[in-house]
Amino acid sequence: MNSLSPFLCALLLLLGCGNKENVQSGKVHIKLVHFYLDQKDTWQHDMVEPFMKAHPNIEVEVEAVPFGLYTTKILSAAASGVAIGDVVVIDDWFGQELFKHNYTIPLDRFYLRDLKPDDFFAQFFTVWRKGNVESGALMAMPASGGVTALFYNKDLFDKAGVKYPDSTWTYADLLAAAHKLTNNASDPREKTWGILLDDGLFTGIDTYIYSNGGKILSDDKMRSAMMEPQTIAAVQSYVDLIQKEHVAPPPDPSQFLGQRFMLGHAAMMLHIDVAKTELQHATFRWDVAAPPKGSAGLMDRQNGQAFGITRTSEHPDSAWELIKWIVTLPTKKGVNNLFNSAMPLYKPLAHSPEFLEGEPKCNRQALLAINNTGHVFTLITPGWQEWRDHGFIPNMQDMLAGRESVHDGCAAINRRIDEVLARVHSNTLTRRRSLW
Amino acid sequence: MVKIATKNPSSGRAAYPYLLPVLIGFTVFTVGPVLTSLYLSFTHYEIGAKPEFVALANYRELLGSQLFWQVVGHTFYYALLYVPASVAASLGLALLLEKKVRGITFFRTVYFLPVVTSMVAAAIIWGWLYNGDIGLLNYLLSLIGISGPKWLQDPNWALPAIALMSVWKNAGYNMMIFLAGLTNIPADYHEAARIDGATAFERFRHITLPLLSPVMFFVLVITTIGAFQVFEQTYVMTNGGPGTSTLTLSYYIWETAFEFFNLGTASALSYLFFIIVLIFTLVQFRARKRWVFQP
Repeated sequence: MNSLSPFLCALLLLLGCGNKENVQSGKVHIKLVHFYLDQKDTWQHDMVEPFMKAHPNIEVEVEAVPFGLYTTKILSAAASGVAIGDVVVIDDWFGQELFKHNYTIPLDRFYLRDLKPDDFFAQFFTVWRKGNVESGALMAMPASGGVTALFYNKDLFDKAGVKYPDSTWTYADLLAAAHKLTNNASDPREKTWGILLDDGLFTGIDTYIYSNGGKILSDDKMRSAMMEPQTIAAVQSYVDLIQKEHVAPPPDPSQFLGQRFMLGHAAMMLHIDVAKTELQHATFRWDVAAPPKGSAGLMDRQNGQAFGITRTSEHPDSAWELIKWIVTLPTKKGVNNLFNSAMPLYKPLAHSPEFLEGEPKCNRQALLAINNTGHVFTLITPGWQEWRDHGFIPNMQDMLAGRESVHDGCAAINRRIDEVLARVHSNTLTRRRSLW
Repeated sequence: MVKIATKNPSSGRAAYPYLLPVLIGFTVFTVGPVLTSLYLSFTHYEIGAKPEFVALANYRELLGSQLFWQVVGHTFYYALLYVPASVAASLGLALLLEKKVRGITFFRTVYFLPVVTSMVAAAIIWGWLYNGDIGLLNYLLSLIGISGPKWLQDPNWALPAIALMSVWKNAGYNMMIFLAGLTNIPADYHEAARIDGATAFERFRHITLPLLSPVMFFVLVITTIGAFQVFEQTYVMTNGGPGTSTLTLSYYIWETAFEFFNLGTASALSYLFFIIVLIFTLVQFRARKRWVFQP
């Protein structure tokens, strides 16, 4: 028995180390895991420390994981049924994968109890609901949102004598401006394009298609809408910008999205608004405007980040207190940096000078106004990465490069989306029937 | 006097505790995942849910998928481009650098440098070199009146361009293996052939190549396996595009597992990949008797 004592002592010590309650101080210990590694210090000083000061009974441990590793980490944790923390940040593109299996708990009761829905940009909430539908449970509390913005190079506009874009612009205005801004220099280093197009469903192309009356998915997001006549027409006009109008360069998968704009070789681009941080050190003057209006008005593809409470958390109330603090940030300090300059969804924060005048300086009011003048939508479905990467992108690249007709390309995308959605929505019974 | 340990059974048992750490590591980190992934390949396994047994459904789905066969085709095409070019380039370099001339160590180091360079860094640099508008390669071609293609934007050129970059990146490694093989060929054979009037090409054809064939076989096997595993280049330079023209098996497995979160399908893909590599390697071993010199 004596020989076992050291082992028992060690075991008890280990068990003691794993206890989440700080027994001596009587504090509740919760863990926040996020991927804002570059803003790690800002998160500590402007978010966590003020929170702990205001909530002396809650102790917050923070783990900042590099963005590239974060998804693997959280999804591996979800797969193995363990939580990496009490509060986790979630990107919209993988949120539904977690919600489908209840990795986080519904937050409606907290949200409706403690916060006023009118204080938030409500359009951004759907993607955080289970199943990505209005009626779904709120599985994570959205903190920041992004929209597609029209970025423009002021130097190239001034040089061509073109008026800067504004909220009255239509796609006809964009095309007219793009013609004036495209030069025909034979030397590729001198060549400038009117507009740089998104070929990967990263926010620009879907904004274009939906604003021009098309749809990629049906309203219930259960099937493809790529073969609807308005969609084919919208895609055709998008392809025409390259193939017929020659105001945009063909896609180049070796370049990251926006590279030509950032190098000053394109005068405009439709891109996710947080790209403004990449332009902080641009060698030219630039600004942002709302995307133009099409036949369906302004439809803008959203993205964003939210915070969820893992279902294994032993302290959901304390975790919610932290989330509430994160999304409303009472001190307002650091609001521009905490989310990489993305728009806070809590209106008092979004309209605060701390955000509106944050670096990089640009017309953030124009982007905020999209909440009033346009409709924000999302395309995220379970399996969306698969139908995007193995259906939408390859065929769209072929269409934009003129290797495939718009009709054939849309048909191929349509087929792929329906295949993937059918599979991910199929139930267990269906799969069992299909066994060999 | 050396005693043969196996004659004493107790001394054999004594080896086990020393082998235990390796055996545990091998079991936990190799055998375990291999068997687990084999099981997962027969399941529908999504992140966050328990694996659900579906027998051969994943394999049937993949074998009936047009994309899978396209991906297999791309992988074979890449191997066809890369393996002969890589072996030829590294053998050529080894023959050049075999000579005992002044500064040869410097040149050997220079040609080996790409091997120790990060693949990601090299792929980014080559991505710039291949840029259709402002890339160095097309600029150099323009100096001799050739209008270069949009290397990575053109589905017909993207995979050959990646293969060329890979040859540059890996030739130094095989070069060192060939150099070691060349060093082991006795100089007497060459000297005797030279006295008999054999030309340099004849000596290479009838002495160097046969005696180097075991090394060549080894290089061929590992280069072929490496070709099937191409990943970083396509990940960094093209993301599988344009279209799906550079989508290869390793990349497809990674996408399916860690982008699309279909771990069951990805496991099935891995086993199909394993079978393909196994068949190819067995074919190479079978063909070995016909051309590899056996003393």
